[in-house]
Amino acid sequence: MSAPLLEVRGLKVHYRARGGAFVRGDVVRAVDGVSFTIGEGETVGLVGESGSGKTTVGRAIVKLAPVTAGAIFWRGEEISALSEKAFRPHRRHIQMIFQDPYGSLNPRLPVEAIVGEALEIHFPEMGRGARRERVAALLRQVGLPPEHMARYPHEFSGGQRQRLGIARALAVEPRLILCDEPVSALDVSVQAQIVNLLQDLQDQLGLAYLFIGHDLGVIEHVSHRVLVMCEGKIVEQGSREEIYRHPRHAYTRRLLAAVPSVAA
Amino acid sequence: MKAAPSRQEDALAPRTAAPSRGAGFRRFVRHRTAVACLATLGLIVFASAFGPFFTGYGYEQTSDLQFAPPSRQHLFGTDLHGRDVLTRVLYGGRISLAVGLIGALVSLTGGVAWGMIAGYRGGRTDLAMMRFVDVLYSLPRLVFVIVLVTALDPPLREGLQRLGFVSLAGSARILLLFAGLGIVSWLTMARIVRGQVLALKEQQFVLAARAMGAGGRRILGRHLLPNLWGIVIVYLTLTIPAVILDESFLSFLGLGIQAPQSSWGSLVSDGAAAINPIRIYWWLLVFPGAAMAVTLLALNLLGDQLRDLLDPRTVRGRE
Repeated sequence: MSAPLLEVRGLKVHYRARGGAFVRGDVVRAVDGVSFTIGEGETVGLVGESGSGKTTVGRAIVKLAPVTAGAIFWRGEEISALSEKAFRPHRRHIQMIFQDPYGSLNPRLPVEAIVGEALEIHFPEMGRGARRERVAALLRQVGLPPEHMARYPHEFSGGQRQRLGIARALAVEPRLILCDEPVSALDVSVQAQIVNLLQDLQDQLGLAYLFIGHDLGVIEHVSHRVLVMCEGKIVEQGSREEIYRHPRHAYTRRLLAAVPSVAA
Repeated sequence: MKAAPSRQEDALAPRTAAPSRGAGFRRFVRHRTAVACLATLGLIVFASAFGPFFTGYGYEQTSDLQFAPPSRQHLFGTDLHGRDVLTRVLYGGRISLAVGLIGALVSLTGGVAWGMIAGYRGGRTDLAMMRFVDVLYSLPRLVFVIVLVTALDPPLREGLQRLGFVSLAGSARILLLFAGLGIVSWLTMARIVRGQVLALKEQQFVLAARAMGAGGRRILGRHLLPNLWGIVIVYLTLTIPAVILDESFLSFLGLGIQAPQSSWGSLVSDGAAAINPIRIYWWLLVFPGAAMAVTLLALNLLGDQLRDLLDPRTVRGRE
């Protein structure tokens, strides 16, 4: 078998906590030796409580957080060592969906500009008309009427905005989407819609997801494999069944036990 | 979270709630105020630019008619030297408005760029750039301008003459005044913009743009700048009047514009000097003072309106 889509090997992200002008701050080990792989078309769930470093893992993959040690490979090619410029073509393949449907869309730009921006960056030769058509198709794909292209983000509801975020991520036909708690800011009824949309898109386009979240129910629903993260380390990983039916690590058990469950 | 979390989701319903009547009326009035301010400012600019050609007098043309009250021949009266006050107010408007414009341009370009770069780059760049601003800030602004003008006036005049710009040499003082006021006018803007950028750059849409591969220039121009317009416009409309007032004050002290040239400040100064216990030549104070007051008021009101209008959240209706 060839190299997996994405491989993370021994990833560490350490920050120096901000000290004063003359005082060195302590080192914060946000991510401390994390390894995993994501295959083509696979959904990997990454669970952990707040502060466990799960968001930082996602950010480090796309160079939004500095990699202290370890390596990240895209289809076997090391991308963590690339300069920003050399990495730029790879950004096309790895897109992100953010948690906050309000903060993640620029309030001053119309939908057309927001969704079309990645196209402008990665396909500068594309004409305005062609870009428009592509944006319209993307909006349709995520279940929004293309006529909404001229509107501004504040004219949409939370769920609609998250759809816009998904359309933006899809624009440049990525192979992997990093979903950073994409539904945790939404109402429960809307969460299901968005999760279903993501799964439909996966079926249609063969996307792989790194699905970061703290909601065990959602993660169980979407993931093929699950990573459990605690204090910067992955304490347990395995298939969905293994993690949910036969958790081995004490932390995983605690996490599962803490889920407020409705008798199914 | 900004919106009510309990808002019922309907993924496809268009959100075009008709704005209520009250809101529509308010917006109309607001638009009307903005238009009125713009018209007033346009009129003042137009009158200052072209008015002096049509009053029938030169701004430095003296006559025997001293301190004539407003009449049909001299609508705003005449001053000590029998000069037509209307002509001098219009001519003075050129200088005062030009000073305001210079201040605006410097703070718009220099201040905004400085603040954006410092805020976005952060770290040492930010530290160095903002300490520079602090140093300039710590100088008393008017004293700085006064020292600049008095210290550099003679050498600049001489230099210009030697280089052959004889006509410019006469206005060396004005050039220095413009330069000095320009230098002190962008500092507040730089600080305000930097503060805004510091807050904005942590927003997720900036992260999203970076994740997408947008470079620094794109993020600054495309994502941050549009979010800064509101506050920039507001501070701009505060800067222009402040610079105009600074110039007026310097001219009032006799350090800015010198006779026979005029600015609103120097005219008020002349008017105040002409006050004596026996007679008050009110037209020497009222007309230039009114011109200044109307301009400053219109600028301030306009800035208030523009801030609302530039925000798509208020333009488009809901909220």
